[in-house]
Amino acid sequence: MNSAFVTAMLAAAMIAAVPLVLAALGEAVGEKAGLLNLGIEGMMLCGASSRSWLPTTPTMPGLASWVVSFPAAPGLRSLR
Amino acid sequence: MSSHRRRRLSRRNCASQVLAIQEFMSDCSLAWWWPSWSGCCFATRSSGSCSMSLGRNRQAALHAGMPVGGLTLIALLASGAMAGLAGANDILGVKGLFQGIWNPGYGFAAFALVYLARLNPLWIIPFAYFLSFLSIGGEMMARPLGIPTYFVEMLEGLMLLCFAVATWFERRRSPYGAEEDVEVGAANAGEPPQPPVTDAMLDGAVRATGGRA
Repeated sequence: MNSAFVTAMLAAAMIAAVPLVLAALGEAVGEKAGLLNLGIEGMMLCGASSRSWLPTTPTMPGLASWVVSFPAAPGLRSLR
Repeated sequence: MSSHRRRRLSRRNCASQVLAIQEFMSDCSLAWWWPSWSGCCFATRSSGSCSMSLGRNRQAALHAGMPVGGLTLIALLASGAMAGLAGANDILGVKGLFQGIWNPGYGFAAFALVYLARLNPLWIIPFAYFLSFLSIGGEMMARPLGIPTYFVEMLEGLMLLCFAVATWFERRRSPYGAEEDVEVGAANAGEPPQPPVTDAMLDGAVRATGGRA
């Protein structure tokens, strides 16, 4: 329980908090409009899978894959 | 001669510009902006405030003429985009690889977070850091101290339970709920709190205006 251990814990928590903040922010956006977005796990899964799949496709340049993979997949998922 | 003419021309140009600016300003203030602003403010001005009022009272939003379906779609799109960003961030930043059994349970943590932060996006950040610190600390302290990992989940549940009890006590004091009471007091200070708008009142208003909405 030295200071290096605590520092490592704080840093790991900082890294792990970022997707939690984003997911909670998405949930808050929905709940502000009176929606209870129960499918947030599926949307996260969609974003994650597209983010892992799209940059590996050889037909797409890097920047285009960045542009496409962020809004498109969860948006299409939520349009369903 | 030529310089004089140029000066006259430039002065006329300047006068016409001033006239045009005055016309534009009057147009902006009265002729064009006011009806469109007053008529379409809730529908087109800011989808954020409209969706917030939609979340507060759906019937009132319908009666004010807001595009409720479009606003719902926009809110769902924004929510899905944020969630997709969260998933992408978890893949790229935290795990570094995508596995088929990827299910970190952020969805239910997000519900708890939003409930803890009371829909305030700024409070989400410290609460998210606190929750992730709890889970990370539970994972890292499990081996040296011999604490089971489920202890952290128990702690989070206990925290939510305490928060729910506190919220219940707050709502018990005021008849219309804690947050609404504060905002009503800020909006019309000195007046007694108005009763909440019911569906029957809205139906009566719709009938009085001839079913405009």
